Amino acid sequence: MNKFGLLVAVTAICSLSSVLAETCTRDANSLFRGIDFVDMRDECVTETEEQIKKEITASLKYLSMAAYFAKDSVNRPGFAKLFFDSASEEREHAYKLIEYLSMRGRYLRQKDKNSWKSTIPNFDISSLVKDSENLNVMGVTLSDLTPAADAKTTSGLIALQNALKLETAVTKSIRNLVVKCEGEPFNHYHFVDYLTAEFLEEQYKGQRDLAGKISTLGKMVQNQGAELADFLFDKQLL
Amino acid sequence: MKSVFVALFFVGLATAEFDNVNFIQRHKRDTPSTCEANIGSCCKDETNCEFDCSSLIIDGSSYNDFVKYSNDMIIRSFEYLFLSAQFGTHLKDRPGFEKILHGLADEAWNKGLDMIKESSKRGVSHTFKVANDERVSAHGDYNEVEALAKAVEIEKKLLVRANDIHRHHSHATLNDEKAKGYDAGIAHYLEEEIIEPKIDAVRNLVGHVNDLKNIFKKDSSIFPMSLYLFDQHLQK
Repeated sequence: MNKFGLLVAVTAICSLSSVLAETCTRDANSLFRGIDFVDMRDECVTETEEQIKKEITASLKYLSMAAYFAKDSVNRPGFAKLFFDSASEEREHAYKLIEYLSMRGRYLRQKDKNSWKSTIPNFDISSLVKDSENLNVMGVTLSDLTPAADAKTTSGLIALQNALKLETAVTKSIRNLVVKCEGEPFNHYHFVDYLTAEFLEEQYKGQRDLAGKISTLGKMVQNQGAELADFLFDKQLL
Repeated sequence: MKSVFVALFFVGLATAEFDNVNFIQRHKRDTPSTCEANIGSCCKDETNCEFDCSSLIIDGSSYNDFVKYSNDMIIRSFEYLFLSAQFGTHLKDRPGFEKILHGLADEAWNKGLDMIKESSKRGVSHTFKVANDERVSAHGDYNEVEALAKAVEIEKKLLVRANDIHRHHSHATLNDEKAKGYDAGIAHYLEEEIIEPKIDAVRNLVGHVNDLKNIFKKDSSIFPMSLYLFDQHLQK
């Protein structure tokens, strides 16, 4: 009787878990058997994942720059705002690429019959956050934001130059992504168009904007009154 | 009777005054009050002007947990972002679940940034080097209920930690010599901006999980249909 009771209980648990498996983790892929609409190729997807990581890295770098300018000893609220906004913008870029992969059916990859994993490699976000204060980012060496006492520059100017270096590196990386995703054996026409129209457009406009700011502030900083120039320019950014 | 009340009033006043003196004495030595003293010499000799006028009212290291917490909000925001993206795929296609998780991602990101701004008001030099080592784990496969349950866990942990940090900065530690973290402004900020929204978030998510659990328990055979309808409810 006890054995029977145990058997009933086990059967009940098994049927519950099978229902759960059926209902909660249904193998949706079976619904697409024979329909091959997912055509984005691995090499392009892998490169896109790397680009997502770079956008996140840039976002966190901007965040560390914003935190520097928010300090009471530095007190440049305009620069802080500029870089807080840039950080959020780069984060948006990362998500736009994730959304694109999702649209093309490549955000999730089948692990086994009933489970999936994100195609995004296991990004160690914690390390990316910790490393955000490093001066070496994406193969580019940035300058320390605190200038030497005798240097004819200011924190603001250094930060703008760093930001332009960073943006140039991101642009270069998007161009490489375009190269990877176009051409034979499979041309990702739509993705390349998306990258060119949405991403590169924004990159080039952003770079021009930063270059203009460097030029304006740089001319003011050249001779006497560097700190005052930084102070005045900061207020314009608010 | 009247004189008893008057006496009690003065005793209360004296105690309050004593507490106040106590507080000032306890915290004064941690207060970098060198601004006025140094600015005088600075104006006389610009070569001897190497100091920062600080907004710190207590020892800067008292804010370590606050700084760590803001870094953690940034990390969690990405965890939610990756989790939310799963539900935007054609295989899951649950825009409601995607929306609620994306909302949590944005909230964590915005609050993380806001906390950096808040700590800068206290004179704290923010550092990202003290970020938590815990790895983001939302890369696996999560079904709808699991994803919400994961969100409950994340939000609850953050709420408990926010409570701990609040205790450190609140008057609860006023008599604790080791703590020296009393900061009414930060305690207030935590209550209004972090703890109250987190209480709402936990309650909201727990409600969703329990709804789904009860629906599943009673009508497991139509659970896919229930999930579809529930997703529509989340989209509103």
